[in-house]
Amino acid sequence: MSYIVLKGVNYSYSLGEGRSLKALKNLSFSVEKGSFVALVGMNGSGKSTLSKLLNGLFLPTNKSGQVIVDGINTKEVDAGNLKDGDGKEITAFDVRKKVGIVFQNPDNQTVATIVEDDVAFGPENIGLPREEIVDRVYSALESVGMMEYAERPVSKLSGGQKQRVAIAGVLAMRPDVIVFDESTAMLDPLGRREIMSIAKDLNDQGITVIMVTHNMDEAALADRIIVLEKGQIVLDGTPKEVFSHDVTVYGLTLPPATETANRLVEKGFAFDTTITNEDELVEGVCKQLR
Amino acid sequence: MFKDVSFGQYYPANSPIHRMDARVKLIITLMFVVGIFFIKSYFGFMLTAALLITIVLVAKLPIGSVLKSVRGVLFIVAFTALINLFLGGENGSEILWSWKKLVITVSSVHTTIKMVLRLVLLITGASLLSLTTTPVALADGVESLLSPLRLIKVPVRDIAMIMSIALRFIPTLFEETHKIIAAQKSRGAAFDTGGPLQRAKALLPVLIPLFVNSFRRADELAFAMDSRCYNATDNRTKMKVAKIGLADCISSLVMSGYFVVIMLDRYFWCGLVDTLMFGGLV
Ligand SMILES: Nc1ncnc2c1ncn2[C@@H]1O[C@H](COP(=O)(O)OP(=O)(O)OP(=O)(O)O)[C@@H](O)[C@H]1O
Ligand SMILES: [Mg+2]
Repeated sequence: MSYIVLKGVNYSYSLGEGRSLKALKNLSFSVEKGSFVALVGMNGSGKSTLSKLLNGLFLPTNKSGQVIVDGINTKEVDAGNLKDGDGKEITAFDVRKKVGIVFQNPDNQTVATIVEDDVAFGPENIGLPREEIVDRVYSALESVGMMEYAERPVSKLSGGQKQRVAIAGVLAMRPDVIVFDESTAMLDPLGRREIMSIAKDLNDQGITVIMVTHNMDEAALADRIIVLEKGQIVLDGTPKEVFSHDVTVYGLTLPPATETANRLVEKGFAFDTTITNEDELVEGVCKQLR
Repeated sequence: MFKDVSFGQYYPANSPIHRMDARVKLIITLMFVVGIFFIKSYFGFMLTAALLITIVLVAKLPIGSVLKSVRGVLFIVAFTALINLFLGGENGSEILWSWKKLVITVSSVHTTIKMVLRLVLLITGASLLSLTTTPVALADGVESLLSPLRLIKVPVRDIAMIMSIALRFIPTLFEETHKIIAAQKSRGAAFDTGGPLQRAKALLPVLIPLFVNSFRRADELAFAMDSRCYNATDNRTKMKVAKIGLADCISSLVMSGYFVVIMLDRYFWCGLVDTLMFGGLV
């Protein structure tokens, strides 16, 4: 079942004096519930802009463009003419509760000084009762392994730990979808791996993950890769499908394993070039040696 | 040059003082700040010092973090001390030292010592508040105390949020300042040489990137807060609800007692205790 559907979405930044910059052009795609999607593309290809459209921070700037999240059209929410079953108005908050975003710089997304206060920020905003907030804060900290840091100041944590706190802050909203907008970009390899494994765990628990990244090893872990170029989708498919194309024309690199396989083929070995990770590479090399 | 400015950062510990209601702590601190300006006797300062030491011990604060906040204002203290030493004496007081128009008298020495004590105790006392209270609790306290102002449409909730975010970003911005200074130094900028004017000028290449970055941060923070449904309406709830407890009652009593003694000492005992304690010295 499609959870997020985009139909003919344009997005332009206005640059003043009547000029504007088209960041997204006629985007249409949908994201299945429970899937793990990687969003890749060069700097400036529109990934962050797209992320912000997914939870209604931005709205399509063309008339016909639509972003529909779990049946809710983000534009109509903004106009205030949607009602739920009980006649209560559906607000932008209802969309943001469903789709959370973890941003790139951990320092710029923590609101409070103390870890648990920061994680509580979202649940406090949506007016949950106190017991429920406490419950959510601690289970969110538990799932990112930051329980013992609950009462520490965020500023004294490492980059990876700060980013885990940011994930907990989003998790405490109990979202159905989490968008990671280059959330691993500022971390060391260990920190990256930790965040990736948290993302994988969350995905296993049924949360839809959209991972914006420049790291092809990370992208290769997804079920599906969407390649953006100049605000348009140029490739969309499983890692095997995407990496069978020459992605370097879109400013991307191949995952090291795929790259190695390609080079082996160049040297005359009969090698499967659709592999995307090290395990498959090792397997292939072993086959050759036997 | 910015090394000591991390004063008054929350120091986590499990103590009755930490658990106290932030509103009570705010009021008590206010009383303390007012009270200290009424003190004229050494006895009063000793009493205040004893009070602060007790609080530090009960709150399990390391002495280092408390003294850090004093270190930050050492320059101002030294400056006021000098001025008081030469200009603070009363006419007719015994002259200890003089050179041209500069005179140090017995009474100016006393004024200076008292001035230094007052400033140091004031800063220490005020920093105890931020050392033992999380910024969120502090902001909630301010929000609650100012809530009557909501009747005249003052956006108290937003003010409290702004306050807690400002406190949250102090360490981040200092870290950033360090980085920028290091970056500019590595390109040959000199911060430690030249006269005051030159030094001030040398700070410009630090301040400009700092401002630019702060705006970028603010932009990103706004998106992050919006994504997490920020609003300043009545729908907002709180994870930690402040409650007045035993510690709050006891400390209010102690503080009121302290305040009464200070006033008695000033207006009724009129330095009697000092004379009894220190004899002819004062
Ligand atoms: N606030 C803004 N105002 C004007 N133009 C913007 C703004 N933000 C982004 N753009 C432009 O929109 C385009 C898409 O930017 P976006 O940030 O979405 O790219 P991105 O794929 O996330 O890039 P990166 O990999 O660097 O994060 C770029 O050309 C960028 O210059
Ligand atoms: Mg981006």
